[in-house]
Amino acid sequence: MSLELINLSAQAPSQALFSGINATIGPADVLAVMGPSGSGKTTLLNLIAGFADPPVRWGGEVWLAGERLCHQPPHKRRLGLVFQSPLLFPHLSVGQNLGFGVPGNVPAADRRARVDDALDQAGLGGVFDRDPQTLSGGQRARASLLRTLLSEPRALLLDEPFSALDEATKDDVRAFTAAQIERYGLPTLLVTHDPRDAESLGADVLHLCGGATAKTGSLPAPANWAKGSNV
Amino acid sequence: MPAVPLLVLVTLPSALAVPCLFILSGPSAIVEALTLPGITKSLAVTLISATLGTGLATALSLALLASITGRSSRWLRLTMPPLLATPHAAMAVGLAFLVAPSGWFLRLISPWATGLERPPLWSVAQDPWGLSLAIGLALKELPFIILLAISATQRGHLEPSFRAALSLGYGRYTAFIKVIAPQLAPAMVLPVAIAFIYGLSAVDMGRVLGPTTPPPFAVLALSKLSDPSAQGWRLGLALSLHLAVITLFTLLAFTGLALAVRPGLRAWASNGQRRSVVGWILGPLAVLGRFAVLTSALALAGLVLWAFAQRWRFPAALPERWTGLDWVWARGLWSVESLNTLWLAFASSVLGLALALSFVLAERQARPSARASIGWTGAAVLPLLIPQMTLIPALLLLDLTVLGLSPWALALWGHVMFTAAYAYLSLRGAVMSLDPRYGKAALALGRPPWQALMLVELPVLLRPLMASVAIALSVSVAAYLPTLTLGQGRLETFTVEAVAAATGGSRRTAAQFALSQAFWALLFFFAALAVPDLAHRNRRGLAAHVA
Repeated sequence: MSLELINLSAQAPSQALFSGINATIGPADVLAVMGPSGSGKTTLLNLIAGFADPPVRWGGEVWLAGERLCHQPPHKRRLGLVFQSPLLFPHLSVGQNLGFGVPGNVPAADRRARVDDALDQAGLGGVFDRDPQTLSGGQRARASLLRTLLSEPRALLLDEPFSALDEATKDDVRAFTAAQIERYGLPTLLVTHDPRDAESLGADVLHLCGGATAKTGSLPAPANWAKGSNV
Repeated sequence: MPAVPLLVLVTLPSALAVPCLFILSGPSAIVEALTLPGITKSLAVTLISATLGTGLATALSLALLASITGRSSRWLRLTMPPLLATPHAAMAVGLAFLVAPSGWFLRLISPWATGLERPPLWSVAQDPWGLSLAIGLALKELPFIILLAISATQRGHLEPSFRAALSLGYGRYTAFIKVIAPQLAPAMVLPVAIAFIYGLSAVDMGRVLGPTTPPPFAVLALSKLSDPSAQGWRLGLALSLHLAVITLFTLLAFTGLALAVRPGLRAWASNGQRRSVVGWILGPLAVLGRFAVLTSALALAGLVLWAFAQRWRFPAALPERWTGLDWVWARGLWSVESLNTLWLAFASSVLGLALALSFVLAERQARPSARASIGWTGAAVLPLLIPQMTLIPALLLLDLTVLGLSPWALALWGHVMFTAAYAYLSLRGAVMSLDPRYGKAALALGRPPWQALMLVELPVLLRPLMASVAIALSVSVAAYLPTLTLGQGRLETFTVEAVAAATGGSRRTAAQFALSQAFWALLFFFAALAVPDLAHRNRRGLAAHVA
């Protein structure tokens, strides 16, 4: 199953964000989208997920497993979206949050088993009834990713998923994310500022340069990975 | 599309009110209304009481807010909600009992301080210039304005500005008035205008606390509307129309005044003076504000005493004999008045909340510009921007000439117009500032839009939703004019009976109805506010995610 981006472009009211994006992301492959602030990284991700904001005009096509997604509503695309800060629903327990991700046609008993399995495998056993607010940042990040994976997505869209974590936790969550991508064989698009994120997931890189045609390329040498630098 | 029900049921009839009255009252009645005996004094009483009441409530609110900014304000947060939920009529009856010649204030200091063994002959309530009415309005509007001001302060994250001003050497009150008040002003214009417009047409408070010869303008209009002759009725409609015009011109005059003094105020705010006269005034005003809160609490406590007093001779501070509890069941809990109050409150709150919620969700989806959002808000709160005494007779006319609804349905419609407007006011901020990623996350997890709304966004918004329900219930329980006029005398509720008994001089009966009214309003209010605590106990994250 591959995610294909064909000649994608986006135009904000005052400026062109990007144009000519062509990429094919294969199963378990990761494409990291990098570029300066305002270059349209999150817009690209929203566009693929079906959340293009009205002021932004866009063109091109998105295909997944031979299916054209452009005119499908977000909830029918089956693309797993993970946000910058782990967004667990605050009115539900951790377990209920994960249960929310399980497709509706799964029987109740099976839902609970899936959630428990997922929590155990992620080292989060025993937190089913906990308030999400009581989890650590790393635990929340993992729970958020698990909820997305339990929804049986056909591809993953990660919007700076590690940026809200402290340095000590980042490596753990990066490794966990890489393992899950590999396990489920999901084509993954990662929006990030940090080359270490891309490197840890073994990603190819797409540079957005603010209005110009996007270019695929490789990561800069580690010596140039100044903290927080834009690539 | 979701905005249409509110536009049709709330905005449209409000917009039709003035043209409707203009056409049906007729030119001769419009002119004749201006020549009625005592009309000038009646107008003066109305303008004085509304301006003084709203001005006092605003000044006390600012002073109290200045005194608590940067400090724990627990006592204010605890006392304001019950005072907000207390109906106008109950507050008016309680205040009248407090300040009457034989009222509780004088009893508490007699005879040891005053030497009085009998009630004096002078009267404080129903004074000829509407000053006691102004005080009643100020006490009742204080919690409304201060709670909205606290909410605006929190939303605007103004405390850092305040601390910065203190660190620059400004005194607490001068820092507040020079730094915080200008930032609060845009958010306060609408609530203060609503309070002022309410004050211009407050019939329930006007009948209990206002003068009788001549009465306030809205009370005069209502008395003419009750006139059995067609000409008298037309005069009532014409007076209602004049009230709308007076409201418009007064608001324009205040707007012009505000625009004229604004450059001077800005220059004053940046003149570098660390202490100011206004700062000196705000300190004593904050003390007066605390006294006002205490007075409101005493007014409510006085209601309890009067409701249960069988025999209470002056100057005894407490009743000598008490009534039994029989009336509590027969009058307060299981009576025509309670049933009417309850069904109207529940039905109008549910409908009002549904209208307001669908409207504000439509507004969020439309993403209006700052200017367009004024239009959205204006449409939703239009019933609050028109004097009730203009809107309600127009709605009655519309019904009599076109619709032909039953008094029950018409009264319910009248209540819904106000519950929807207040529910919108209390709900808008929370809905518009809800993190949009909640909905996106639910959609990305494969849930259709209606499930994203019902299973994620509305549960996250449960606290503001229930706060809106609480306010809507209080508004309905307190609604006097819509119930009396649109119910066409067939709907007996606590408000209607309390005002009737108070103006008829039956102190105990008035207190019992007013206490029953306050009891239900407070019960509904706190029950609605308790729902989120029960439903979301152990969910600490909710407070942080909803502004």
